[in-house]
This record gives sequence, C-alpha cells and structure tokens, in this order.
Amino acid sequence: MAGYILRRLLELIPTVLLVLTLVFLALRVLPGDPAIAALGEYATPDAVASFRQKLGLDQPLWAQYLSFVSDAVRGNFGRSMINGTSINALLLQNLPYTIELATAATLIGVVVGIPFGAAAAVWRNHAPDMFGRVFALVGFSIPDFYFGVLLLIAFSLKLDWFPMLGGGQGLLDGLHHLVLPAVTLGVVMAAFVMRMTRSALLEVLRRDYVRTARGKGVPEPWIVFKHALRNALIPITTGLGIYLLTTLSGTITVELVFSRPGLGQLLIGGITARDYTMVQAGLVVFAFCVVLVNLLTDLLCALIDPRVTLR
Amino acid sequence: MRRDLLKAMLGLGATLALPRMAVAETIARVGVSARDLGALDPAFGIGNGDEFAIRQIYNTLVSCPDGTELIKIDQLQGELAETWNMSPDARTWTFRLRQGVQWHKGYGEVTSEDVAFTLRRMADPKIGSQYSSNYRLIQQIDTPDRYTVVLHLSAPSPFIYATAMMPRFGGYIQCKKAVEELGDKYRLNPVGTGPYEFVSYDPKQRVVTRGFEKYWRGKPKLDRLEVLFLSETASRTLAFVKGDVDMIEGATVPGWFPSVRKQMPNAVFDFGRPGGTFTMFINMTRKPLDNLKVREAMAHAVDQSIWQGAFGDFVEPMYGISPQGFYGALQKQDIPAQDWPFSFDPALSRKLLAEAGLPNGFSVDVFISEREEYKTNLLIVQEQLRKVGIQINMRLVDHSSYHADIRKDLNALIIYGSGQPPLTQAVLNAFYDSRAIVGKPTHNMNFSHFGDVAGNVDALIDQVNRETDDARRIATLKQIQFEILRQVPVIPLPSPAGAWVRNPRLDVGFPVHAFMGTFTLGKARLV
Repeated sequence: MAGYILRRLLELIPTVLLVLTLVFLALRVLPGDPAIAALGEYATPDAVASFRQKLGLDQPLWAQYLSFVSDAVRGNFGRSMINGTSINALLLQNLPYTIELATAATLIGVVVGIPFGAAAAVWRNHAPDMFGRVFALVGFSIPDFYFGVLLLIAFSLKLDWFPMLGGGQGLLDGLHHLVLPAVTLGVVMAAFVMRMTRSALLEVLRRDYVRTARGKGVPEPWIVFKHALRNALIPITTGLGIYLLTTLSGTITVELVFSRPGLGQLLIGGITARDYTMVQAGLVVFAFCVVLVNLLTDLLCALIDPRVTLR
Repeated sequence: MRRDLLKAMLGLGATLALPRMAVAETIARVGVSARDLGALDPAFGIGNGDEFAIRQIYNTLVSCPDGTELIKIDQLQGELAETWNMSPDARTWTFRLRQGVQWHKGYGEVTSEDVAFTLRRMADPKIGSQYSSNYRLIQQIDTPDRYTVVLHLSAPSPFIYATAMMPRFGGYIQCKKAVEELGDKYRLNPVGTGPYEFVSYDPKQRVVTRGFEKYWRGKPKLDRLEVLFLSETASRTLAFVKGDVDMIEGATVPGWFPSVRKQMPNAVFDFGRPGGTFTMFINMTRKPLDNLKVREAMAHAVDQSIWQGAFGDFVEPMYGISPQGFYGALQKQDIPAQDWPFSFDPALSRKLLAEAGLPNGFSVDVFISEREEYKTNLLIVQEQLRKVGIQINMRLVDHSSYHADIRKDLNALIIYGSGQPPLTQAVLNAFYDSRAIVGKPTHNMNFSHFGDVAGNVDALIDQVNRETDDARRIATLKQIQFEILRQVPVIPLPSPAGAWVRNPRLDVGFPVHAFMGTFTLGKARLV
C-alpha cells in the first residue's frame, strides 16, 4: 500500500509540471493585459512599461516560464500582480474555506444520498422511489447560483437563521456560515449520489447471491445493508470521486454567491484582473486537489473491496 | 442567603455587561461592487472599491463642497489647503496649508514638504501611476515655508486642481515619511489625514478603518467604517435588504432600482450627478463608417428616450460629448431645432443610408465587454439600428480583453464608460484630441480617430485649456463641441448617475448629489 501511494505521489510530478505549463501558456494566449488591469484605463505607456518591467513581463516567454516553474516547484507562487499580496499567504488563508465547503457538501451528499438511494432501490416504484426521483430531478435541474440565492432569501433574509456574507470566524461561527453554502452544493451532490446508489443497488439486488440469500431466509435489511450495499459502494465511491471534482468547481460559484472566502474567489478575481500569478497558483492547487481526490478514491475502493489490489 | 446570592449574581452580571456597553461601537458597512482591493496607495488605486476606501483615508488640497460636484474655483472647499490662489496668467498656483493637521498612526503634522513630495511622486513616470499625466504641467514646486506650496506650470491651466488636487483622480496628499519608510508595503498600509484610519485589509473580503481621533474636522461619529467587496449583485442587494450592510453601490441592470424600492421602500437612493460619460465611438477609419452619411444615419436611428424607459431616474440625456452637469456641457436649449444629426428620425436614417449607396443597410462586427453596463448599452443600440437595416454582429469578451483590444484599434464601434472630472475640456483632451488617437505614442482614448479623420479641433482644445476668462471659455467649448458633433464621430448615450443605495439609518450628514468617491463619510452617523 505504502509503495503504491508513493508511486502515485511521484506520478504527481509530471502531472503538475504539465499543468504548470498549460496554465502558463493559456494565460499568455488570453487577450488582456495585467498592466492595464492593475494600473487602470488612464495608464500612460510609460507607466505600463514600468509595470511590465517590474514584474518581468517584458522578459522573453521562456525566461518567464523558467522563473515561474522554478519558483512554483519550490512552493513559492510569488505575489499578486495587482496588489502585491503574497499568494502563498492568500492560499493558506483561503484554501481551508474551500476544503471545508467541499467536505461538508460531500458529507451532505453521502449522508442524504446513500440512504435515499437505498430506499428508492428497495422500494422501487413506490413512494420513496418517486420522492427520490423528484428530488434528483430538482437537484440536477436547479443551477447552484440560483439555488444559493433562493436559500439566502429564505433562510437568511426572511427567517434570519443563517448569516448572509463571509466565512465566519472561529469554529461555531464558521460552521454557522458554512450551512447554506454546503447545502447549496450538497443537495446537488445528494441527488447525484442518490441516483447512483439506486441504480448500483438495483443492479446488485438482481444478482444470484442475493436471490440465494433471500431463499435461505436471510432478513431483507441484512441482505441490503450487509451484502448488497457493500458491493454497490464500489461504483458509488468511484462516482463520488469524480463528482467531488465537479463539486470543487462548484465551490467557485457558491463562494461568489455567499461572498465567502475561498479558492474560487481567488481564481475568478485573478482571471478578471489578469493576475497571472494568482491564477497560476489557484489552478495548480486545483489540479493538485484533482490528483489527490483520484488517489483517495482508489484507496477507498481498495478498502471497501478486498478483491481490488493496488499495484 | 438567597438574596445575597442574587445580589452577587446581579453584581457579576453588571460587571460583565459594563465593559461590553462601554466598548459598543458604531459600525457602518459599505458594500462596493468590486472583487478585491487594488491598492490603498492613491497613486495606484483604481475602480470604485479602491476609490471609496482611499477617499475615507486621505485628504486632498481642495474638493467640491460636500455632496456636490461644483467645480469652479470660487465654489471649492478647502481640505488640507486653507486658501488657494491662481496667478492672472494661470501659470502659478499658491496653496496655503491648514496648520496642525495630523497624519494617522503618529506620523506627525502635514507640511508643504508632504505636498511637494506627493505631487512629484504622482508625476514620476518611474512610479507608474495612471494619473501621472495629470501632473505633467507642473514644472517646479516651491515650498517657501512649512505651510506654503507654490506650483509653477509650464502652460496656463486654470483647472489644474480638478485633475491633480481633487478626489478620484489621484490628488490625495501622501505622507512623505510613511511612503519612504514603508516602501512597497505602503500600497496596502496607507497613512493619510482623512476621517478614517486604516486598520486592516482582509483579501477579497473587506477593508476595516476606524474613526481618526485627531481628524482635523473633528472625530467622526462612526467608530468603524468597513468597506466590503461584494461583486455579485444579488448577494450585495440581499445583504443590503437584510441590513447586513448599510450602503451599497447600485447595479446598472434594468429593473434593479424598482426591485430594491419594492423590497425596502424606505431605502435612500443617492444619484451622483453629473454622471459618467457613456458614449459609442464610431471608428471612422472603417468602411462604411468613414462615410458621414452613414454615421448620420446611425445617429438618427438612436432614440435616447429608450434608456430612460429602461433605467428611469438613473440616467439622463446627454446632449453633447459630456453629461449635462459638466462645466461647458451642451444643454437642451443649445441644440438646434432642425438639422441636428442626433435627432431621432428613422425615416431620415434610411434615406441617408440609401444616399450613401447602402439602401439595404449593412452589417458590422463589434466586440463588447461582458460587463452589464457595456453589454446592455450595445444591445439597446443594436436593436434600434436593426430597425433601419444596420446589423451589429455582437461578440462578448471579458472586460480586461475589451480594454486591451480597443486600445489596439481593433473595434468598429466602441462603447466606453468613463468617470472624468466634471469638465468638458477633460473629455475633449481624452477623446477628441488627435494626439490622443489610439495607436499613437501619445495615445489616450480617441477611438474614433477624430482629428486625423473628419476634422480637427486640437488648436481650439489647447486654447480652451489655457483660457482664463469664463465666458470665452464656455463659448469656445460650445464651438468645439458643435464642430465635433457635426462630424458624428460618436453617438452620445444617456449619462448614468453614480448610484448608491443606503439604509435610512445611515445619515451621511449632507444631501448627496455627487459621486460617492468624491466626499467622505466623516460627517456620517447611524441614527
């Protein structure tokens, strides 16, 4: 297991290097000039030239690339081109908010989606299944942005149960601020997990060994939870891993709607302002998260199913 | 026993409560439509978010009276300057500073050295301020004593204060010692003399300031003022309606104002006027836009009243190249009753197109910023031009790309919104002087190529910039505008106000008829 993890972590190196290169090139291909974004529309040509020189943007592309990569591999993402803030400090400050949001949304997705999906499979074409289908349809249909605003209106503006802005300070306040954003993302994830659990469990419940167990008189809950659900968890876990990546992207929208700190805010702000250093760092961290989630998914699959071997 | 216990508990409760009551602060929160802070150094602050915060932290030498945009020299109010004087030839300016004004954070008293340092710093191309060109006329700065500053200009400039010594365009006086001591850190650690002292900056979230005890106009009634970055219109609006923020920047989306009014009927709407200049420049180097008849056809097809139907009070018609409230702007009564290229007349528009050899109209490719105010304006123009056979093929690009590409002369029709000092000559310098044509080394924002194509008013602009006689200056400004507008290098669009909405509990201290970044909240209080 340790060897496998080490190998997968080593595989990160070429992946991250590729990401660094693609991100660097993509940003340079985009139209727009960080100098104008930083200095404003009235900037004189002298001011623009001075800005570009100060940040090394007047250097040949290869020199900029080498400097960027050598700094990045040492974990130094430099300073924001727009306001000079340390990117590392910004990442350290913002990343926990995104991680806690994605984690909370996943928890909601799992805690709500798996039982609902199991119920829908067991009572197929009955009330729980009907309810589950409607829930899934609604979950998939409502865009994050719109759902977030609806939640804000209902639970913050009208009922005043939850705060409207920011990420909160301290554990309790932080959790209080986390509820609505997590529910916004979590409902969509729950819909996804529910659908996946339902179909995976239906598939397993048709297997011969389930029929045999039923024939032997094993109680139905035991069959479902002990035997069937465990086998169904393998595709669910894989799907969850994939969907978690979508959720990570979803945090961008949700952070904007709830004016919540996080990686998404950094990225969107960076893209708008052509803050190359900020976007580069944000995308590298996102890419790192993607690789890490994939690794964790593989490890979880091995843990759930002893037949899976990690080589 | 029980009574003693009760007394003890009450005593303890009172002890715990007292300090709380003593430290209860009055906090006002303001939501700006920005994703983050650019800088709190006036040399680099851009956009509404920066400008609003900077205005609370710093002072200028002079400013328009609180809540107004009255710009003539005899209308100004002194901030750090107690008196100011222009020589008859408008080449020498003398400012006498207010004594005893203190810098924040214990940096001592403001002196003429600070003023001279600021003006030199702003002008220095190596510093790279976007406002550096505003200071190019300052040839020499003398500081004969601790409280007197004398500026010697290379050319007469009766309005030098409007772009170099007033709010919004970099005219904030900076502390020499702090700038030198803090270096690059000064960008996010400002030291000013304004009503609010900088406390902290929480990236992407807020700037926190506190009322400055030694503010020269007296300690503000607000203990803290927080500027929150709320770029999403929906979140900003909901936070305002809920009462989490006391004042927010308005959104230039049709229907936004009635919607806020409905949700919060007692909300106070502050429309800052004169508004911004929103205009559509016609790139006269492109075919068929190089044909005057085609440009006239476009102008006759656009009805400004459409905007008022969509935006209501938020916009007002612009009759010339600058909003009505600008010094020297054309007013309704100045416009000829007949033979005016901008009168709405679709039939005449079609006739002119036919005369230009385009009886079936034409199509033109245009890219536009995805920002609401740009996109909406072009959509309204597009729909009106379509009715006379002119098809605008619109492509959305992000705002940064838009600004970069229009400066490369890549667009045929350029919608441009800008905040200028309320002077028509500032608009002329930026948009109609041939030296400002995009692509030239001295370029500014002349996107239409007026000056090289279809007429030239450079000499008249120079004349008006130097003119010290008010009546002659106004007459020349009108003459210039007619000369320009007859060539239709531009289609004026209605001028949007600088719109803010506030909770009635936040009393600014005076009626607001100006842009929010032009005055401070030093007199504000929560009622």
